[in-house]
Amino acid sequence: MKIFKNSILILGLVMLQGCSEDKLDQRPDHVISENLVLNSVEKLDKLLTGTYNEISRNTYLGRVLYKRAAVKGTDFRFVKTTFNPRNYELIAYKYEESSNSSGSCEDLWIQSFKSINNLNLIINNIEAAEGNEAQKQEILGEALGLRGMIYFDLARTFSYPWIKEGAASQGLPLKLSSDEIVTERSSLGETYEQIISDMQNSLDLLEENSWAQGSTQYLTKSGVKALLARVYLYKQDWENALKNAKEVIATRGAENLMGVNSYVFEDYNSESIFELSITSQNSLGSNGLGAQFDFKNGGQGDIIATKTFIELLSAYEGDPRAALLEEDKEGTQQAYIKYINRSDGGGLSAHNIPVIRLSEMYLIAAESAANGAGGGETEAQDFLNTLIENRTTNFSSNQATETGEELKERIAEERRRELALEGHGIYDYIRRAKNINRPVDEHVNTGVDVANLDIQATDNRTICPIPASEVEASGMEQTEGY
Amino acid sequence: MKIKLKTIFTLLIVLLVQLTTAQEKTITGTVLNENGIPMPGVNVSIKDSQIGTQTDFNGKYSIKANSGDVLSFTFVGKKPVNITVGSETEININMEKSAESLNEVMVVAYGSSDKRSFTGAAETVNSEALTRSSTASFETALQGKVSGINISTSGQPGGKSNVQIRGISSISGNTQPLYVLDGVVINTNSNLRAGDFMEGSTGYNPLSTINSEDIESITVLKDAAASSLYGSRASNGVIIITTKDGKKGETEITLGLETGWSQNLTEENLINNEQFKDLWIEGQINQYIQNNENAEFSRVYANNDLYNGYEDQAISDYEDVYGTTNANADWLNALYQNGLTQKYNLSARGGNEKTTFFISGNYLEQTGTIIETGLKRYSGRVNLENEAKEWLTLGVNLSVAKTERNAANFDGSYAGGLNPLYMARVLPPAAPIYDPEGYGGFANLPNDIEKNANPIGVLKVGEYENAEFRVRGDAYAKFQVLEPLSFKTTFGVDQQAIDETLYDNKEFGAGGGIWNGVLNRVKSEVFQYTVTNILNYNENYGNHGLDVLLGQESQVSNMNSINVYGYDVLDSELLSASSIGSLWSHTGYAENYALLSYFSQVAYNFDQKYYLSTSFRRDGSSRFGKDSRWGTFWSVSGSWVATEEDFLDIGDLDYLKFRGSYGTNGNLPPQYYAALAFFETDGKGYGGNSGLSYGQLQNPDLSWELSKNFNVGMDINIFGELDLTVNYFRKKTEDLLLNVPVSPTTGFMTQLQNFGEMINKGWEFEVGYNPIATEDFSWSTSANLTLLDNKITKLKNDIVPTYSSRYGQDPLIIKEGESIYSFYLRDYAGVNPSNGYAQYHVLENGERTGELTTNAQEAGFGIFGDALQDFQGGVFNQFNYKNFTLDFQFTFGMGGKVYDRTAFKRDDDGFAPQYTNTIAQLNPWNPNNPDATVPIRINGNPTFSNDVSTRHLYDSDYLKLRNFKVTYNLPSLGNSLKGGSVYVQGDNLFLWTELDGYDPEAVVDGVNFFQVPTARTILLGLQLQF
Repeated sequence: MKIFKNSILILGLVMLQGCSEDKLDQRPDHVISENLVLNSVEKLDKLLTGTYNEISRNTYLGRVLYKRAAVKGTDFRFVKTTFNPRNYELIAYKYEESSNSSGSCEDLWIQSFKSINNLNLIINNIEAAEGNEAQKQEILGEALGLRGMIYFDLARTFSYPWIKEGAASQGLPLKLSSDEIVTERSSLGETYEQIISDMQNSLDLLEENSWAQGSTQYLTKSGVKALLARVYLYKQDWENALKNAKEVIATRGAENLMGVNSYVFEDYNSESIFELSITSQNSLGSNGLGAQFDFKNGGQGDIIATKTFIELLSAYEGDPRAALLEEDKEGTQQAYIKYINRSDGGGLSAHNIPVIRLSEMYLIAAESAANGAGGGETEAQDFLNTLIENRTTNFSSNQATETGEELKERIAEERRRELALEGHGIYDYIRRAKNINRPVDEHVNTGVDVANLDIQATDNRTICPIPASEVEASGMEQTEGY
Repeated sequence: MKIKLKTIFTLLIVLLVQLTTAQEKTITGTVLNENGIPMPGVNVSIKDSQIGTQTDFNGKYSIKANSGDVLSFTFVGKKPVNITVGSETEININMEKSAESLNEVMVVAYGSSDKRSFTGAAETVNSEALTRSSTASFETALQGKVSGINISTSGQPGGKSNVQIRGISSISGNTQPLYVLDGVVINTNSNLRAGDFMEGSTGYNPLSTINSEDIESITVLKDAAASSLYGSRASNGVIIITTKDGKKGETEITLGLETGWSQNLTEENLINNEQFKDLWIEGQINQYIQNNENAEFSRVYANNDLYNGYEDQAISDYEDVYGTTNANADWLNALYQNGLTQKYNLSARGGNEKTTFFISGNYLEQTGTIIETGLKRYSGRVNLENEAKEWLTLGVNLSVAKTERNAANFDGSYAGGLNPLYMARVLPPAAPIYDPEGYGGFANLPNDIEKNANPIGVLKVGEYENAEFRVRGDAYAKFQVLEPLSFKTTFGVDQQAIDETLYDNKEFGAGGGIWNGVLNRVKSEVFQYTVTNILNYNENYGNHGLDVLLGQESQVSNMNSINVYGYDVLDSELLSASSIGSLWSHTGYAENYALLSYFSQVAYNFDQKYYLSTSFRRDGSSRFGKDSRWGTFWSVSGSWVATEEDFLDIGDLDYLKFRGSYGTNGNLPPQYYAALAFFETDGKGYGGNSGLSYGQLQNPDLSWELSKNFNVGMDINIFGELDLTVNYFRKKTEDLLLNVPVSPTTGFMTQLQNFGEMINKGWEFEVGYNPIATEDFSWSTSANLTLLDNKITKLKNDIVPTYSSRYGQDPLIIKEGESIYSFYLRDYAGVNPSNGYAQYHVLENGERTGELTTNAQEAGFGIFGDALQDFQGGVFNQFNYKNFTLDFQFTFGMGGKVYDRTAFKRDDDGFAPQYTNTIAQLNPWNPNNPDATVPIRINGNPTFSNDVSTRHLYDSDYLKLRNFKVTYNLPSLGNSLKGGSVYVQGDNLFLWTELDGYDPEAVVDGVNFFQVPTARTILLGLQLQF
């Protein structure tokens, strides 16, 4: 009898346990599973929002690309070693990139593709997802435009410039869908074709800009067009560059250029065409862009202007751009504070980041015309002078009258002044096949090897190597020269 | 025939006596060991009854018995003695060492076994040895005690330890053993999973909530036969912890008090202010020459005017930064202190016929050797068992512990301005610590080195507290169903509540400047429950013995956390979440996992001579991918007691046993959801809207790492007093969980996949011997030695280290055909006497080409040894003289290497001149000092001479006096005090090794990198038994 009782007890306990197999399906509740996202327009829209966040991260436009562009050029340098550079991007400044050690190039590569993969998921799935058609079109348009922009940033950073060998240079692996694996590099020609095609498709989908305050924190039709002008400029397709730049200028007009008395880099200023919103949601503090140049309030302030650049800024009478110089870590007036920390903005680097703005349209138009597009040098002077008029209190004596190579040089100088720290520095040298010459006395005790001060425009170290991790994982072809 | 008659005669007499004189009386006596030394804790019981007691500290016992009762004396490691009570009232016993302690019962997987019939490789360590360590947790005491196990320990109170059984068998997965507490697998996850931003809780040790005084014994399961019953989690070995249970008889109360002091065992030799200044100025001069004079050092040094010009400039540069007076700051002295340990322990152990209990309470307080750090622990335990019915036993084991730990952001992989230990070790003596004008009297650092990162200020004014509340316990019921068939069901819980406050104050560290204080408040809770049902059948049929176990188990763990992080803190004294003025983030996580298992074990023996055992376990885990959710693990083992054979009757060979086993076990992915694809939501917002981003690639095939274990061994006893155990093992781990590099064009760097193979093989030797044993004096000694060889045999790619501008290149490579923790370095060839640059042997494919180069970029890399010791072991000696006992333990290792990665910042030839140096940097090369062994010093040195090369590689052979103890055993004082002891104990007293500031027993991967120094501790202790 006792045994019988026991047996029932045991049986009961065993039964109690037998039914818990569905316990093995455990899901986290702080992340969202795949199918929930890909079938819904609403969620794909969130994915697009998340992609803007990824683009604004410090490893892409939130710091790395702009900082790298600046320190590899002639106009900015690291502070002296005794002032303790935190050397995140010292490799770029020192021109010490190698196939094993690419510095921040690897971060840039990964972050770009992380963003591209988000966009591919949107582009591949938006058609079939459930939701509003107009919204679908808007999302797809922005996604294509952003993908074009990212591939362009990758192309100008990881491939030799168009001027070197044109379409035949090594381009990028064009990963256009979320589930395919692409490790083959296209040619630079194919890469540019893809960029232009994405941007053109985007233009077809997007509605005209509203220009409402704050609307340029997302990529708009004019934003894509402006970026396309930049793409054509790099591709030396002067006619198309001019055409697109002029279309944007026609939409906005010279009245939206900042003037001598209104030259302040506020968020959504009148020149804004596309800028990244930086709020407490994606603020990067001392890792952000502004803190790299500004040491106030605990910023790093490791990057300061060179004497070369300061001289350049002193060319015009009353140039508002020279007023951006402030005291730096070394006690001199060489900190260039273009990015002003919002006082209520949640710490350091709380400022929007311009991606493309109206001044650049004038400079692209001028450069394209100076290279023979449209009305040629006269038109080029007109565009350039429209800008200069807004950057000096004495226009008559600073007016551009040069022609030929001198005019192109003048436009390049104007770009250095106007677009400093906005992701152009080195790119503007190498796309025009101009060597980078950095005077020794400006770079004493900054950690740079004197042998690496003057760099040929065609030197491999002006562009990033394919990161070792990529070559290691996929066997991707390394760039010639590395 | 004569003997037999005698026995029968005796038995008859006994029977008669028993029948006629069965009346109760009190028997007293003393139990001595073979050396005549009183033995406390010997179990004295009346056979076939529930009556029993234990000897006191002087070996004395007292028990009520009837004439004719058989008194049974048992003690671990001794031959049991049975005496029939006659007319006498005093029975004194001398216990002898049992051969190989054959009848010692050891706790093994889901049950117990005597050592003789156990077919696997396992070792038991008793409580005496476990309380030897002065650390908060018990596992550190195993180092050098048990072969095949290697433990690295942090010097931080309650700091992490790294336990490896038979080598490292995983690259990206868990490498720590499974811990089982009183039959229940406990949660020893050292990842708090609370999303801590500032890593304040790095170095968390999940075992520090277990009071080592509560532990009766530890069993270390090493081979498949021993551990495969734990299936998918057993590949790193298993450590079974059994806590003390109650004893029938008079309640015994034990009081323990300990107090002690600790200081750093290791400390580096740094330069003084004058030396720093000289080096800095020399480096600055050389930098000018490099930049302005085309690096023609000899020419400039020969030209006095030119040289003096640069020297003046360099001195003025120095004075611009550091002023004209020497600060003579001693950062290490300001950071380090003498630690203090206090421990109070009170326990009671007793019971009656039906119910036994063990109750204990413990308070531990340790202050660290780093200021403002320490640990407090309050813990209590109740173990109860009741024989409810003849066929039913009920019991409960329950422990509650609270720890409060003060640490900071050190002992992790991060070394930067927010790591005060790192900062204090790199800041120059020229940077003042204190400034009467500064906040709290602390100085800002010169030229804004990591602004406001004064480490003393960070520690003194900040708050880095981690409080844990832990409940671990189980309740069980045992049913004796039919005589050979029993059933046990156990319900176990493990509840952990963490409350963490990480505060970077308003002036120093991350909270300084614009932030006005940064606060991170974290709460997390993990609740794990386990249900185990076991059916056991145990019967002998003549010469055939059979032991069958059938089991089923399920374990579920639920974790959730809330994490608030922000700046602008109202007040340094008000550190609640609502004191945060502006939020950076508020996050919450919930992570769960479940494991469902079925298992069985069949053990058979013939004539207690031949043993055969098999085990089988099937595990389903929520951590596996949906296409590979269930895994099967098994083992087969056997042993042969050769000395039981008639043909093997050799005089002094008392015992000889051969063992062999083969089987499989697994290792789970440490991540709970590594198999799933998902999108992240945390921190992905933009422009005021929330966002998503692709967070992880799916891997439906993700499964366990599979270890295939082979073990052969033998156990020998000669002369009854020399024990020898030898094991050979080979563990091949397949399907290694690896963060396999995937093309970053997928948006990810790596994906956790099962790929790769690794082999650990080696020998283990253990020997125990008692050379001298007289009445007043005895000497016993034991030693163990482990030979270990690791090799990675299959990989998708070599994991080649890349350069980091912050720490230099990672010195370790993971490469097929090499050991894990292999060093991948340039081949340093000293200083080029003509130009002072560091030069290297050029390596191609790891081989010297015969050329030398001063260009680090062209030097190439090769493999130069690995961190794992080839030989490792311990030697223990114990001397007894009357009431005094002296014992000491040495540990040693040979054949390993260590890479000094602190050199990148400190022995850097001027690379980062704002940091200090060790004395190894003195007397660098210059044209006037051409025979120097230190390369030329250039501030901002661009030559990479501070980067990885054999210049910073050292042997990590070592010998350590790990433990030393002198005990005086107190005599008993009547009935009030039964016994006790007073003792002095030292831990980590001396260390002999090549590299200053490095303890090979503190670091697992052989990379010296600003870890917390090992603590050297002296303890005074008193133990009293009432």
